[in-house]
Amino acid sequence: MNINMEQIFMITSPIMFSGWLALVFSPLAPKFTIRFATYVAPGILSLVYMVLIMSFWAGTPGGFDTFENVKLLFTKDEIIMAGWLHYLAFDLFVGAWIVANARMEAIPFWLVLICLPVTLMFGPIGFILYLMIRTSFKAVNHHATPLKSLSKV
Amino acid sequence: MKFNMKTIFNDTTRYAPALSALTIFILLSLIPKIGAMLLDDRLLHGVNIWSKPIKFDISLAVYTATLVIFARWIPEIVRNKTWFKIFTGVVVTSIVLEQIWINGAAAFGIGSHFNIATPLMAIAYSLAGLAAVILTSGAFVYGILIARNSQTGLAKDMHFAIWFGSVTMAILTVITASYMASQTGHWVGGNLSDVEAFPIMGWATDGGDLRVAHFFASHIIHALPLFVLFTAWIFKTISRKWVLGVAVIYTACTFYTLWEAMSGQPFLGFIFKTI
Repeated sequence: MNINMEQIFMITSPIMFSGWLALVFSPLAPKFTIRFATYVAPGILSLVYMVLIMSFWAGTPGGFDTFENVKLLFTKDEIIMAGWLHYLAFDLFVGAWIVANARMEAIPFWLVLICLPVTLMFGPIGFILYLMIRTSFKAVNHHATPLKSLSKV
Repeated sequence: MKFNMKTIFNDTTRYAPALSALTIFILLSLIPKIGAMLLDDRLLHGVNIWSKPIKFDISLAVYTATLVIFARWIPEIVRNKTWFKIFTGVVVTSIVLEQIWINGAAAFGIGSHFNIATPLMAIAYSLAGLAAVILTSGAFVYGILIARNSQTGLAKDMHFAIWFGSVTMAILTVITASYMASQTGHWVGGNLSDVEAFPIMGWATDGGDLRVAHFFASHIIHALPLFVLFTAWIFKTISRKWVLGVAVIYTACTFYTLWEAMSGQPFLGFIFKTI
């Protein structure tokens, strides 16, 4: 099948965005949106990743052993696309984890809203930011009253 | 006597949960910045680009921690009022925005204060000035509220030192900082570099540095209560006159350092002339 990477990019981007959008509106329908952003959207992205690796991994130069070899992996379009999908899927999964975890810890949703765009753009920084916010919030949490208005359980 | 850190921590933070969380957050944010300072070779005015954000983290954390400690002397009924909660939220937001501005500028390798090179940074600088006044007003409001509270349980002179120090801190800081902001940089004369600098503080040693007065202005909030604490401890006696006297001398010294910088002379310049 002749499909170019630009097309895969065009198809997968809206799937990724739908996941993040679901998370932004998660207080409205937490069960559905968190499940969608944890399983459905990252699942579809991972499936596409899997198909790309199954089809194009063989014969790709490079490997995981040295930095030079890792750079060689990313010289083939299909593998670059797979790497990109890896980012999209796992960043979204982490975003969904943040939303779910914050609900469990009764962390106000507006604090989560600060972390989501950062996780979308720079995944690990968003993850660290959430952990920092969670640590700060929980340290004094037993005195603070969580904002219930935005996070109806 | 049982010395339990957790109890002390809980007993301190419960009076100002939002500011406590912010203090912890600022301290946590130091970790990646110290890492960046070790890895990043970029310089601004001759010193590492991350040294300014780190200095601001430390001073803002000291400031918010001070407000956290002082919050217990504001009556609970006031702390629970809606206007006070909104005010606290505005102060916290101002500090966060200030941090985003300073750290964002550092990440992009440009200056934050005095940077009006692009329209965006010029707007950011003027908004940051507003945020700085708002965050400093926290000490002013705290000072007034503590002054009006006759049930703090504090000794009379300590009560005075705390509220008077807070109010004076806000006034002196706004004066010294807004004079500095009205200039084009923190140096007056000298070689406009931060390389040959006062140890740790980073003040210029070859010309005036307006940050010196800002530093002293901001620390009267600590100087007065600490003076009472140590005087009462060592001499077993204290009077309001002494506190006022120290406040007057301290304020005079602060204005002296401002004048010194305005006339292009370094702080404690005689030391650096001989080296």
